[in-house]
Amino acid sequence: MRLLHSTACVLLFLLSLLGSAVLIGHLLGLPEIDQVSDKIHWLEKYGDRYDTLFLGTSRTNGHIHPLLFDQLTAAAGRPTHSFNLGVNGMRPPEDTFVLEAALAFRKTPLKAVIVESNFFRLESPTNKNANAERIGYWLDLERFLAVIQCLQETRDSALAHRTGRVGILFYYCRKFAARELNLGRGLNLVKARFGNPVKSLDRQLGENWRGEKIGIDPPIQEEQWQILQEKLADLAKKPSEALYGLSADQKEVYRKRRLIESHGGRMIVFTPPPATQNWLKPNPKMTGDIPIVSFSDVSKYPEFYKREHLADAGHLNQIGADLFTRALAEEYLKLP
Amino acid sequence: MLFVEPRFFLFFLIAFGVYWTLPGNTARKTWILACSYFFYAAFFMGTEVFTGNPLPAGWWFPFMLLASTGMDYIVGLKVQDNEKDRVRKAWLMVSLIINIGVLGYFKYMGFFLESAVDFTRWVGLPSSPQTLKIILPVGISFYTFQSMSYTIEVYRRHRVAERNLLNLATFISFFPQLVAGPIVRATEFLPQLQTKRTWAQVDVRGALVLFLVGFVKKSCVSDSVAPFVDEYFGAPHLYTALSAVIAVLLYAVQIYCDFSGYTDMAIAVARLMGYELTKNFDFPYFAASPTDFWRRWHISLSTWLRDYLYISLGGNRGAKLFVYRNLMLTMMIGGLWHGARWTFVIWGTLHGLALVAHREWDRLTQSWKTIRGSLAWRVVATLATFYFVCGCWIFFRAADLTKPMTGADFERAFYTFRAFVGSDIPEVKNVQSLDYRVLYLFAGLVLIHWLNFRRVFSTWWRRGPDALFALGLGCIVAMVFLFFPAKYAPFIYFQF
Repeated sequence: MRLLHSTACVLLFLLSLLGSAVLIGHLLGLPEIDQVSDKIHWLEKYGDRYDTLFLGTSRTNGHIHPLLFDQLTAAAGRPTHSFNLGVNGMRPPEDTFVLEAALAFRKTPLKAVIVESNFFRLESPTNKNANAERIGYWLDLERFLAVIQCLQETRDSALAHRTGRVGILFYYCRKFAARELNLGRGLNLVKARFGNPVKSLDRQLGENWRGEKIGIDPPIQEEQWQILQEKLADLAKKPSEALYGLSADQKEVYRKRRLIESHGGRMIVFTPPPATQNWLKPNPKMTGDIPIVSFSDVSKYPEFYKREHLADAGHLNQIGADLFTRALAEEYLKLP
Repeated sequence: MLFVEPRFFLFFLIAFGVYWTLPGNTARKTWILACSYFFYAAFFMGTEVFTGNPLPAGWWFPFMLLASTGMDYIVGLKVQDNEKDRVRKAWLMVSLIINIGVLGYFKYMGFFLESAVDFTRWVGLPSSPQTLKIILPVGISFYTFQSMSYTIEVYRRHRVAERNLLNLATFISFFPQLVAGPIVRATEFLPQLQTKRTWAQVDVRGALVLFLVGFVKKSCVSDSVAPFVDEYFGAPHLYTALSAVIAVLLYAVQIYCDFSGYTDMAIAVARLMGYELTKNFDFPYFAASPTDFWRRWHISLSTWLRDYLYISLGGNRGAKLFVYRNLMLTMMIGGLWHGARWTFVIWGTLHGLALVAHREWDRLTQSWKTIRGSLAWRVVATLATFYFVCGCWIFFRAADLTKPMTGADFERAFYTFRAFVGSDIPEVKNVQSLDYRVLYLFAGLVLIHWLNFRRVFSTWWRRGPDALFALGLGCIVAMVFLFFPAKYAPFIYFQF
């Protein structure tokens, strides 16, 4: 009887803790995340101005010029009002979360979301980069279950070698618990209230959201150029290959498609230059038919591999970004 | 492994769960002992044992704890079994010399060598710089004092020697209080180990609330004000006099919440295992005199120093000057106990002087009974004591135990002290100031502390059914988690 009483009390405590945490989390909303929050807040206010979104990593954020894209589509008689929702290092499942958050307040229908094709990203606990630190804000229950599925399926030996699957699972469990229990959110609020927050570049840009300052300025360094040459040599031996990846990858694509379609839009997948060895191709059996615009063929798009168009081995500079936006618009306009 | 870390919660969940399912008292004590050594080893070792990597420098410290326990076990029995006072005294001296010797080597060897070199240089004799890189085993000051108290009490015939090695080892290494106290007396704790603890005896509500209070003090208050304090004490000469006052007040908050928070959690964890530890704090900042302060601050250390040092030196017996010498020596050694730094000696000396001055003041004002009984007197006395204690904290804070002490540390301490007491400080260009709005936080904390002092929070949560308590606790824990730190700062007293 005593044991039953104690167990019931422990359960009540846990229930109350989780219920309160969920309520507090709901009241607090999304935490302030560099790059991400500014864009989401902007779309919360003015999202209905845009009918086309670009979603992806720095290769979307820095490679696509929405104003130019809109000019080209308007000139072709299929006008768009686009917004670049690219965030440096944002891959699945984070991009699905951000898209959900960005569309949550939307009232008008979308035309399209042009999504950069990326494999599901699992971080190792040993990674100390900004992407790994961002896990805390997007790892909700849906994403957590997706991570577990991906962890079960992945055969990435490099990832498993460092800490083992259990280590990674434990890492994500901690991040998930921290998110759900709102660990440290109050401290951050106090710091934001009393501290002197540094304005992010994006916030400073303010009304210039749509990308007057797009692309990465500095010219490619010699070391990066050599890295790219090695990559290109590898691609010459074995051209970039489209893979279906894991079912966790395809599920993420399907989630995005379902979400976009629920807002009246269509999903278009694209692979940005410079090409990588593999890229994720939506599997029609799992995701349905999704139009794909691929720039992974090096020989077909040589202009993206010229020295004067590159910022580093993985990114175009401003001139390259301009060229790419034109190429993307051209491919977009070819779609029915 | 800090009490605020998730891995401690996992460790404790296992330790607690297994402990209460074990049937016999011996099995339970053996389990506690194993957990305590694991807990202690976790401070020095990570996964090196499993990965085959070289063991870190302090890997053998748990064995030193074991050796210390074994030595005190033998000494205790020898003192007990011998009738001749000279032999008993000789055995006691063995224990004291070894315990103080080990403490002295790890904690004070480098300090004395550096001081000797400085002194020889000062008198103009040739000397070569000496630096010893000795790693200080965490908690050594606490468990050494605890084991010394055992042999002294056996010698004084206040208790019989413990014949059960398991009991003695559990007493010395009991994990909730192993690394930062409270310094438990053998007469208080060993009897608790004789009998099997029952779950019905455990004040679960009291323990959970106490742990939560300790957690809030440490994680939400101490760690939140620490950046302001560190910012100021990193370069005090760049700040205004008001900033000095703010920083010192915040440091008073930080050190109290850090140490009393740890103690609260230690007492709560022990209570959940069925054991009671000594009370260590009793609203020290509401003390109305330096003597009163030492009855309320780090009670387990101050009573230890009183019983085993002050009384051994002669205590209150003898001429006035002799008593004052005893007081000064006790407080200076008490200061030095905190760490091998002259600033700790200054801190102890200031408190010693205050105790002497207060005794004289007390004697001189004995006839002012009406005034001394008034509320106004009490308020003024409390504020004056708090102001004095805060002033002393400046020297306590000046020592960074991770680095050798330099003249600049003294300069910074004296600069802050002058600013704090309102003396002129040199003007600097581009003077900075701490955000004065932090004082609102300070005022809020004082109000909460005062309400607690007035026992406003003491009983209402004990009323009502357990289910309601569980629900309420869940809500409060969810709110506390909002202030959970991203990084765990070690407890300040761990370094002592």
